[in-house]
Amino acid sequence: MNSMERVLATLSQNEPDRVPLFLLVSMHGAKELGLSIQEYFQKGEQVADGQLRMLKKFGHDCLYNFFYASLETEAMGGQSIFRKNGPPNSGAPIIRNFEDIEILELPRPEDSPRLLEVLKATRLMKEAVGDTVPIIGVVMSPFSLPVMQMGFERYFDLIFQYHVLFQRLMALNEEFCVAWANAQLEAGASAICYYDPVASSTITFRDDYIKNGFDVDKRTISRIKGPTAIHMASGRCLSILDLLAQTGTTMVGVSAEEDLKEIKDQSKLNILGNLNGIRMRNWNADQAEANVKAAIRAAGSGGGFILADNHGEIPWQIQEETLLSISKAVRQWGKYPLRWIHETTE
Amino acid sequence: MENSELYQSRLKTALLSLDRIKAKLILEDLITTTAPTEVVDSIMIPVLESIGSGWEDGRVALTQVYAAGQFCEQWLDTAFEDKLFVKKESPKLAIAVLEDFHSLGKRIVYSIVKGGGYQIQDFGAGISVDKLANKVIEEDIDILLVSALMLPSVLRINNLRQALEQSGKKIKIIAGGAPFRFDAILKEEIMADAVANNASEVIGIIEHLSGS
Repeated sequence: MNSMERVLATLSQNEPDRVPLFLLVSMHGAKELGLSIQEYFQKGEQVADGQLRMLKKFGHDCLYNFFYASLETEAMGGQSIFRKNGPPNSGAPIIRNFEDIEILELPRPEDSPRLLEVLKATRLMKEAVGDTVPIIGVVMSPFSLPVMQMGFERYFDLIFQYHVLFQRLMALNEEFCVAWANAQLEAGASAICYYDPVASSTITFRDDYIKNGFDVDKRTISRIKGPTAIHMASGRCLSILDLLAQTGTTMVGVSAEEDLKEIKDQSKLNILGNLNGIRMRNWNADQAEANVKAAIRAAGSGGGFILADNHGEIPWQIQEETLLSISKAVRQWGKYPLRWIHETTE
Repeated sequence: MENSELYQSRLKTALLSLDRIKAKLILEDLITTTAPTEVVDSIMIPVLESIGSGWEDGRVALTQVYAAGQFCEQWLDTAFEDKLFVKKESPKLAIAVLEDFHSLGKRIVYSIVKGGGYQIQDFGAGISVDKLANKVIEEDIDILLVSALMLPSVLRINNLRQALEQSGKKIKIIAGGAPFRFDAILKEEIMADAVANNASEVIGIIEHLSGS
């Protein structure tokens, strides 16, 4: 099986030849090319090159067109503040006062030079792998994007105190998100990773998600012309799994803070996760293997599972050797049928 | 204090359901018969601590923690003179987000610490190691609270410690942020005097570090 066949099989809740592995590496491409993180993300061809090199090196099952989270707000007039050893921060908010929302206009993705670099990277990756390897595109959900557009605190106040303006911002963000997701699909992305940490029960109480975010997610995902994975970016989702399944998404990215088996038992969705990206920086080969085995034991049976980190972005601090150990362990322990999970209890 | 558990339970329910009017009524009722410092120590702080623990184990959402801290801080500011709630033996406190612009955690901790009767200076977000160290020394801070959402920022706390040590004064650091929740070992890698697992834990840690 090639990576695409492997992934499609598992998404159909069937067991492929082995558990698919998505190493969601973005910044590590800069190391491959000997560039700084900031230099690396200036050109789509560099990102495509970095992704293809990492695919070859780590032997995982996807390409990832993700640059960094604040790219979307950069396209909206914001700034990213780069650092040497991690993803850039979002700079000053583009919405400084609630009144700004009344006159806010968001760009079309095709008018943003920065987003065009992502589309270029996507096209180049597609040219290189065709339909053999899934290319994962990325959007920030309309419900979560305001954290970068206006800051967490002001956004919480908006949700709970300024309902009309909140609805207007959601409408604007929905249009942007749908256009941006569909542009990536058109450029060659196979699926969209829809980041929605604010929906997670780590951040939002279930009832408040139902009241404020659930319909936004349903409307948006229904208009994205390809499969989506809703990703909690380390946030918890057990208490909203039933709701996420109703959004139309096919997969959920889950937190290392939750029990993968419990999620698997309760979820109708396919599962992406949940290796702990923070702990990973200290893993030796044995620990990498043990963690891979534990995840496969919890969620591998019957397919419907892709092994990945829990955040959707492997930290810069993770060594190449660790990623290679993870990849090796998946090849060793992820082969279907997973008879070993019934034979040992470690 | 009589019926403290009942009041705690009622206040917690009101805060978790974001019912500010009800929470205000409960506190106004209490304040007619109870000294303000006792309301803070016996009701408000235990409730905020309980809400913080609830977030840590997944029963409470961050929006609820934020709203609870914000309400308590605002209520104290508007209902009484600030001086009534300043602890006499309060150490000089400051809070900052180190090389990181995610300021929600700072805001929540700031509210809760103020709600606990402490004065605390806010040194802002996105501040570099050197600038923060200079500011801390300049303001003669005793305990610095450092909030960090991103792993690289957490790892910079050791650089901050080195910069502070050059001042010759023993300044205590309390660190907190999401990376610590995902890796217990991280605490051991960071030269902080304490790590708070949630915002409400900070008050107990301040009391412990300052010997109050």
